Amino acid sequence: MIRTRSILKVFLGSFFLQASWSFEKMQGLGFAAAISPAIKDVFNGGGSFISAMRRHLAFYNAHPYMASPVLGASIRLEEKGKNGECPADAGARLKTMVMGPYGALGDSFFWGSVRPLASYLGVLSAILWGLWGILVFLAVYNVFHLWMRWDGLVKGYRLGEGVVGYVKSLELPKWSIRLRYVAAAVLGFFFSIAAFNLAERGVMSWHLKYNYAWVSAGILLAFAAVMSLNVFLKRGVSIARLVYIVVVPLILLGVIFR
Amino acid sequence: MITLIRVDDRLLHGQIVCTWVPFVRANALIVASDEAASDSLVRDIMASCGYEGLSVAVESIDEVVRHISSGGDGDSKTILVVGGLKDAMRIYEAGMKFETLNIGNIHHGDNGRTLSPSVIIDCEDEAIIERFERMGVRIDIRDVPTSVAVVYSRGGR
Amino acid sequence: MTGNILMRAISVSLAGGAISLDRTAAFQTMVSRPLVTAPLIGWILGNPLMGLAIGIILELLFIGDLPVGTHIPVNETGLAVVITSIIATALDAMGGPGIHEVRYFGVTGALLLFPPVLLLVIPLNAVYQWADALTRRINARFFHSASRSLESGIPVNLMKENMKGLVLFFLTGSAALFITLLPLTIAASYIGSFIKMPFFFFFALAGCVVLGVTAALNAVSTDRSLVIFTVAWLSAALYWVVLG
Repeated sequence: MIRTRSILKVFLGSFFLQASWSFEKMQGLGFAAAISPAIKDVFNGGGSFISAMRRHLAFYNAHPYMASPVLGASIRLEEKGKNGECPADAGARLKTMVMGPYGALGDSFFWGSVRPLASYLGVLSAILWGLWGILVFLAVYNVFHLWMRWDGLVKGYRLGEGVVGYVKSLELPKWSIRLRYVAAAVLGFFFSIAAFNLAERGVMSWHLKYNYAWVSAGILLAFAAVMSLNVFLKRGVSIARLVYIVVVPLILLGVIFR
Repeated sequence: MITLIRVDDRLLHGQIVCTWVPFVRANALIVASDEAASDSLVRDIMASCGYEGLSVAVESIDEVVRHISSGGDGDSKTILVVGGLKDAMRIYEAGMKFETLNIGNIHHGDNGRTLSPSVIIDCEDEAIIERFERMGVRIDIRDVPTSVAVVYSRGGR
Repeated sequence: MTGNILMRAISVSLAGGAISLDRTAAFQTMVSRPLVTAPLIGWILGNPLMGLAIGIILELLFIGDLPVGTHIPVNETGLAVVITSIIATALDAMGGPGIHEVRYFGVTGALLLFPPVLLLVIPLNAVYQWADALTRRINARFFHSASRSLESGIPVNLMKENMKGLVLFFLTGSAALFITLLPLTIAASYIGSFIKMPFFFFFALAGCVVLGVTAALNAVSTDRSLVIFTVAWLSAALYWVVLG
């Protein structure tokens, strides 16, 4: 029987999934370390516990939060395996099967969509309300993060191999795209404020007569710059290199027209 | 049209969906692996990574060759992922010629030669790479598009 | 003065090393994003708002580089720590009352130093990535030693083995920050004492913001993102105009 305490330990352990991340085994040791308290409960320690852990100490890598449903399902499958309801290695097999696709799902949902959305909401809040923006960013992001870590683990344990259907029913790829639409809109609002401020200060610093025409010209220039720089980024020019391509001439320009 | 052929022993994962798909603006992804195609659960899980704008299919090597050489993918932009260099060679020899082969992930643990953190190859792999080079296929060793490609050099072991 | 600088470099490196753990080794709550890291370091050095402004630009610039598989992205945490720290030190050296709050045409003076400092520190990313990659190579040992114990039937505390990696991440991360931070902080404190705030960096600063927005837009690219971005930008811009 698995104690609630052990499930909590697995939950806490999941936060250290990548503590010993290595090129060779990636999250392998972290996964085994996280699942260990629950597996110990399943087998009441002893020799069969060690041989179960041998199965789980293997190459593993997916998105760190997506490990939670896999941890839960693996625990359930070890339990079933012990009772002879499925092959003993079912948990380890499921793990290997889902890790690639769950890396793809998690990376594009959490890294590719939730993080930019939270980030742009944070950045927008920061220029409106200062340091509160940090809180907005962390709150929005971690609602999604902690939901997957906890709910994924619980659902995984409840459903066993059925977790595959559960994760599929979340339709993460569809939501990834939708969140990106929202993120693009938030970024548009941010850029509107930022471009206005920059144009205004640019006009003032150049001692031009302050009027709508100059400020509007500045705003449109900023917009045009974003659109043209976007072409370079799409072609795979790295952002670090683009910083030099853009900033060095602008420093020179500033020095010349000071 | 196939826009990218990639060797990746982890088949479908984050690097492909999050970096290569947007980079080559692919709208279709084919995982060519006899092993994966023979397991309906694996096929199902991989297909669930698709969305409106990206179809994901898992096919055996023979299916892929038949499907592509009959022009079955129309005017879509397709990324083809194979699990190893042997499979890439099988596809090439079956008549599906390509100019560039991207090598993303190969992990031959203990006695392999490390070309990059994600590419550790054994003697058999070296032989296949050299054959590809002799046939004029450019070898592009990169995990993600923004990484600097590692140049393959003959291993003196 | 020098002792002071040394203490500052040590404390910032340790704080930065601890925050950097959030990148890979532990939690992933995103306190390691520049939007959080830069104001935190700014707060340690007495100017969180300057850190926030730096954080906003860095956040947008590097949001699109994802930690997928074996790919190690640009260490934007390290860049945030070093940039904030260098600018705070230079400002302190410039001295004068309220130097941290000085504004030029509404731009916080400190932010004008951002573009040249960014150009200076981007190459340091190589040092951080090297330290990171070194850790990720050594970490395999903990796996293998745990594996050997299990193979011979010896029970082993896997979490303890796992945490050795975390300690290593902290040590290499802090060390990499320290060796880059110390010389730059010393340089900043000398240079800061005889420069004045150069307003001519304004264009470069505007360029950094524009480039940041571009990178951020590219990070959420879909078939419709460009249109949505433009509509949102335009409607907000018209709203400002109507408001006058």
